[in-house]
Amino acid sequence: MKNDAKNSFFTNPLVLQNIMYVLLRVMSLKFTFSKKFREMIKNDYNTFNKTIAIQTRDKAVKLYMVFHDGKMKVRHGIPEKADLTIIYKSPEIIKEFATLSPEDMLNYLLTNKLTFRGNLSYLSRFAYLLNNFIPPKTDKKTETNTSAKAVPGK
Amino acid sequence: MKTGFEHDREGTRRPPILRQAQALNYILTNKKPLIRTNSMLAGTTTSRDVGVMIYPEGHGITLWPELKTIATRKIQPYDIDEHTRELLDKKVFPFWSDRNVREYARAANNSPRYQELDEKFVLYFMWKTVALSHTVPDFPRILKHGLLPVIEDAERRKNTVDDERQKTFYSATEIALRGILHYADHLREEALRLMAKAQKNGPAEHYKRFADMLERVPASGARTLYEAVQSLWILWIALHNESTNAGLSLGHLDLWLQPYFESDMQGLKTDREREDYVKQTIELIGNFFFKCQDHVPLVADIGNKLFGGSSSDQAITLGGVDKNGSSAVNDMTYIFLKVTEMLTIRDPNMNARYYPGINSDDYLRRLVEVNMVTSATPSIHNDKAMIQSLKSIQFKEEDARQWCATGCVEPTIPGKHFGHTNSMMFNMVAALEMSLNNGVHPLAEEQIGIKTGSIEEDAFPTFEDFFHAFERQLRFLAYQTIDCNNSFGFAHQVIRPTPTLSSMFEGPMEKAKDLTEGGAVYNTSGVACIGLTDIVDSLMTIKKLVYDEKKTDFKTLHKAVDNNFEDYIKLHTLIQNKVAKFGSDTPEVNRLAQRVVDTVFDIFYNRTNYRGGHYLVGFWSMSNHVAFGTLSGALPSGRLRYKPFTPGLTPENVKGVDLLSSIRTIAGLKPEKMPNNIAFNVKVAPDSRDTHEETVDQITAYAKSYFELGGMQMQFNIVTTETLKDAMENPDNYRNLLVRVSGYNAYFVELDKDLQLEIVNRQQMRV
Repeated sequence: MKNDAKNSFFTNPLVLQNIMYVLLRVMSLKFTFSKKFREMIKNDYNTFNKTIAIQTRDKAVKLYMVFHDGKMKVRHGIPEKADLTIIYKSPEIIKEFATLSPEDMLNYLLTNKLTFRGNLSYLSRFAYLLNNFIPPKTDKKTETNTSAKAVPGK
Repeated sequence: MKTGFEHDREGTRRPPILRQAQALNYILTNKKPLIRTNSMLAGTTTSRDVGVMIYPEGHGITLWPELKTIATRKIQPYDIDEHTRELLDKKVFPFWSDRNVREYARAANNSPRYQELDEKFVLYFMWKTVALSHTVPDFPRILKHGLLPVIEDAERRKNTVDDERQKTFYSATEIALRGILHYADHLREEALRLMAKAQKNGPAEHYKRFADMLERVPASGARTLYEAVQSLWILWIALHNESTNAGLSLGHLDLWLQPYFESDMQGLKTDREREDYVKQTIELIGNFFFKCQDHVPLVADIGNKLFGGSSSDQAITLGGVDKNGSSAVNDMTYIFLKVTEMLTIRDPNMNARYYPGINSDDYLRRLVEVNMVTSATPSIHNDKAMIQSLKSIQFKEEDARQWCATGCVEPTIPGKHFGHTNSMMFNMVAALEMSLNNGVHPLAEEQIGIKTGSIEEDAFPTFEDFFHAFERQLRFLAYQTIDCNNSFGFAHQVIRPTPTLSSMFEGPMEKAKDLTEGGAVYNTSGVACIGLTDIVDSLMTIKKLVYDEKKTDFKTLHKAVDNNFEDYIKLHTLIQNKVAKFGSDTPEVNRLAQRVVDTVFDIFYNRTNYRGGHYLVGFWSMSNHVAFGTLSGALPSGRLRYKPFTPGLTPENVKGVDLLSSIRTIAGLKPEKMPNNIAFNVKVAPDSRDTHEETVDQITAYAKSYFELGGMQMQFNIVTTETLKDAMENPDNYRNLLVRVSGYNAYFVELDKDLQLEIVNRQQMRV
């Protein structure tokens, strides 16, 4: 019973939205105070000026981030125009995501727990930003003999 | 550099093909010329021993989320240093975020529904977001004459046309090809540098040979086999700098290299010299195989689930007949087979053509023997059936006889046919699921298909009514994929034109038209249809139990399917035991299978692609039968929820299906309705009481019967289920265990667990 109560508390859309709001606010502060972090969205080569919305399918959870000139602002609601909208199947799925590493985000597209509207590249970028904000959670290291060196370009 | 080569120095926007040519020229001109110690071939695909090719204009950006974790992920980890990570994150990926094929198509078409469906990844997978390089260039021409005549031809044509667009095409060709020559020059300089260094310490001759060869090729025609292979390797590097390393294929190399082999041999006087030459040739081709493995495709983790363990699928084709219909099996065929057998590596993807009645039994036996030694390669094709299939869809006979396998198993006429043979992986089962649910897809939980009637409202009084609903859903889904493929194709014309590849085809130079715009002689698009067995078995269950014998009603069956047959064990048993399955060689099932094949062929063939060609269907699945299956609900066939579909065109592992009945069933399907080929997987367990020779003889007899009956293709896994299970338990003991997935080879221990289990659970045929 205790667990059920805890579960339902954390999947309550309002609670979830507020938790996410706070987390994203902390992330936005990191952009403000960490030069290294900020360089991920503003550097000599590009500035990430885009709006990313997050919502559940039923729109019970809805907030968005505005990236502009090296800053990130977090807002409640649905933006007039989003460059990317990340749509979680349900509040439960958002909670499930909290146990994952951000790089697994694309895998969730396969199971339809996550869908999106907009530019897939921004979803990839956002996942990487999260990955730098939230450390990867699982140690996936296994032995393999196919390691190869990634190189830029061709 | 901030805008790549999008604008010239005056700020004028370059036409896409010119931009692409300038970029390629820059890359090749500035590419580090590397000659690896002990390598018999100069040049490398990347600057690393084994490198990952990153194509940000294609799917490269999907790696972005994993930049921090890619070195430690479970399947196919890549080492990456901090500099590379920073470069990709700050410069490369942001630049290409709005310039890649997927995003260009989305923005240009205002987020179309067909692309939304594509991005669910469970209905279909569109390969153009990654590549459209499933083709084979006209290497014989370039190997024989070199690149200079092509450049001169481009210059001459440029000076004789008035049209600016045409002039631009020829300029682009020339610029791109000159990039290749710059790279070859730099390799030659490197060879000279190494030679000078080596003179002090030893083997200068090795480097001198490189310098001499590179002075000639690929600019001019090759005179020896060694020069031909070196030339081919440089062209291969260049092509992979333009087109994604996904399915770009090498062609009929035994046939094409044989003249050089013969010419070399003629200059040799003694048996000893000839014997040494053959040994050197085996070493050279072995070296070429290893060089083909100096790059791996970029696969994001999501791709590991969809295409687990796949290499670049650089197909090499052997044997069969030549353009005149005579046997093409020659000395080089056996040299390639020897190398295949000795190395047992997953890439190049070896495909052998066998023409019953023209190619010898000894040759077929040798193909089987190499399969036995390697456990999984080469895949064997029936030349007669394939040529017949291609002829039936208006390929000229002489051209059809020159077909080569591409990527996995698909046919391409080298240098004439731009067929993007793997333009999409099409989940036919999704259409069946939608016809069971009035257009709602169970996993997506939304109305995706059209409303074709509800089982609960008795919408299907007869089996024909239900089949019609299935056909409508299939058509609906197919049309989504066609619109999506065409939209991505148009995006390629802007984002990724192919001046280099185009110069190695008949058609583009004559028409001043890039391959992506329809420059080739043949312009088809290939479709891989997935789940035929599951569909036929499901339709057969519905027909038999609901309509013919009335053992159950449709509502009950539907409920059982929805409940994954929980609480419906009796019905499940009935389905397993009383309904004839695909592969059992039952006439009624065979007719139904042919009907589904005909239906899907007609739906696709009658639509036109963005280059004006037909859509051609085939029945093979890479590893998508596992990915799609693990995302799909239970089926009327009795297949349970989230279980893989059967691979390619392979029967289910069930009672009533054995090797002979499978052979008769598959061979009975009409090749002309499957022109993009099939993958018929046969897992054979040799009898421990038989000798090697006896086993090879027996498998050869089965293969021969299959081909004589008209079967198009077959591929083996000659390995026991026990060995596979042991490999799952003790991967370190089986690092090189090669398996055929569905069209391509992979190392078993590097596959996703679902895929491993699917191979373990395939029916083990005894011979």
